Amino acid sequence: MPENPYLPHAAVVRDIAQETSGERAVRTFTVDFEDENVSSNFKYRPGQLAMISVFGRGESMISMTSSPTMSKSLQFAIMRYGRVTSVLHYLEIGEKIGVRGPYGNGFPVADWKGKSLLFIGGGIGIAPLRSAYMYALDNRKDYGEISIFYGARSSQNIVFRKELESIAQSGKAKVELSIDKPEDDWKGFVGFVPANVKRLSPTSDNTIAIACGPVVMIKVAIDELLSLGFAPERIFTTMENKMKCGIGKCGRCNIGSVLVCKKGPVFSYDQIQKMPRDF
Amino acid sequence: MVSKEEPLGFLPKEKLKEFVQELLGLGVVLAPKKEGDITIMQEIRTAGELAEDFEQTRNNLRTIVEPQNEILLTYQPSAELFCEENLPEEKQKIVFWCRPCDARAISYLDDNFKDEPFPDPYYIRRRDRVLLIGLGCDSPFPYCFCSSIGGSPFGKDNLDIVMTRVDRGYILEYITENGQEIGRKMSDIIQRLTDDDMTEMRKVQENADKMIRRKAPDPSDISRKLSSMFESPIWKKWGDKCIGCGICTYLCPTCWCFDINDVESRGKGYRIRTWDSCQFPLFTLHTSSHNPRPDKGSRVRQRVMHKYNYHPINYGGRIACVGCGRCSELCPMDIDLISILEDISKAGEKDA
Ligand code: SF4
Ligand code: SF4
Ligand code: FES
Repeated sequence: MPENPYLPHAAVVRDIAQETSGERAVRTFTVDFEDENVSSNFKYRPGQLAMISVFGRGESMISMTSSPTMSKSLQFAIMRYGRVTSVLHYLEIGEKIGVRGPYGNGFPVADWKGKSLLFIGGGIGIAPLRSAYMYALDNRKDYGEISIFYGARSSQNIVFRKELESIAQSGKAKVELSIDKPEDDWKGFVGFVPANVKRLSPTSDNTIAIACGPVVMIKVAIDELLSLGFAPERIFTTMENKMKCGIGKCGRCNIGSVLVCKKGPVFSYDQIQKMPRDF
Repeated sequence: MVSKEEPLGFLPKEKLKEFVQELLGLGVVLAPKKEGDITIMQEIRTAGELAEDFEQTRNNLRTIVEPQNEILLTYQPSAELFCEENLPEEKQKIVFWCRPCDARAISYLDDNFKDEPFPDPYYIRRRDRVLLIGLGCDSPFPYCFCSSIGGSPFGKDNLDIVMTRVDRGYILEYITENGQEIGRKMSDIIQRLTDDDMTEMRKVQENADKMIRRKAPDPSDISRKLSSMFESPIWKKWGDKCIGCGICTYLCPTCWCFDINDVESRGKGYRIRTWDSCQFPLFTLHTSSHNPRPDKGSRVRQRVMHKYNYHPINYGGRIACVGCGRCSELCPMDIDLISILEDISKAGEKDA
């Protein structure tokens, strides 16, 4: 019998980075599996998910924000929000959490070889995107232009800000940061992310667009992308739903006949258009 | 695998108790047992506990392969031990006198729990050790409609033995090698049957089909029509009647949805799974307070769509309903599945 898929593996918190603060703070946790074998068997693709356990609180499905090209450690950028994620924010370095996975389909990064990539992120939507753009940056020669449009409510809410700025400096990718409302020291764009996309009108030629963020942002971003000439099958996003098992058994994460934990969370806009309004 | 040996046996009426007593020596026996006014399929410890005449059991076989509550893991927050799996013991279970529809329903639970790439070890351990001895329905219940949905009162799906009640006793048809094995073990009780028994068996079985009083519209037609009925007004109509109690799903033999939660008791932690229902608003409620199924109409739709459209889409056209009729009979608001199916049949025609 294959191993018990409900069994989380112990992972030790190695590092905690405070990305943003406030009620909805975001921290990035870097964790390592205790067991070497578990670690080497945990092979994931960018955009895949893991079920994080805090015993006594339960589990929460979270996307890997690291890329498998980075290191053996896994990283999760977690917003303090729900029952599980709020206690995760009390964790200290050296403490243990449970991790099982990887789950879901992930981004089709292999199919994207030879193409330019346009990442559009809002808020905590940067978490799955980072997994994909770090992967692309680590395999830089496989991809054309890489652009990252990312917006947050304020400059204080920009997750991975330093890293994004250094990516911009390296010249390996174009990074366009924006904030929703004006601030004294802010030199970049002010307004919603889709508006920034519209302003700079990136080309759709041989380009894949990946948009992750709040539902409203994604809707407007997709409209923008369509008017820039992106075909629906070249626009990708991730879908969220309440998940309990993560392995296609508990029956609650479906959108129509599609179980998000199994066939998702990554879908092309083309696929989404064919789904019933069950989300 | 069907054996080359005699495929039939005869159990005289007066030997029934003895037969059950023998079964008790072979494993844990679950059988219909009266509990007040109702009959529950549950463990019996003596042959006398078996209800010989019984209404449809309130529960079905889901309780046996996927118990209503079970401990998946234990954990001890403060100890070295991180967590430990709690796989069920592999005890042989013999289900005696389940109805063919309930046995057939296990196929749909199998679809879900055996599905790759993550087969469910808790389910599989139980499932692999269940032997099913069915009792064909010589007098179907008022809400039964198995025969309009690919089943039959003497259907054999998933059964190891099916029994037919005749005047002098019971005729046993061995369906699998495991069933045959039971016959061999009981060779001192089981007799050969006569030509008359044979004739009577056929008569009983043919009669049963005619006694099914309810008929549902053609299920594959329903399945096809549903694909364009997500936005149909019929969901609101039925949703307005529904009170969201979840009874229909808790009694359904093909329902499997569950929740997972951590509970602590006396210093020990348990990760448990419990049945859940798509009829409850919390089932899909996001942390953000967004709910993809915010009203009862969308939840009634989920139940019907899942059985008649989503499951067939995902599993080769197989409709996850066996026609046991429990949801219709026991809904406190008299929401009748067949009436919903008839609405679909009619509405779908208009759409086309
Ligand atoms: S049993 Fe009836 S009232 Fe209760 S949830 Fe089901 S359809 Fe609704
Ligand atoms: S639906 Fe009724 S007649 Fe048919 S198998 Fe089930 S209990 Fe028997
Ligand atoms: S989370 Fe359980 S089926 Fe998808």
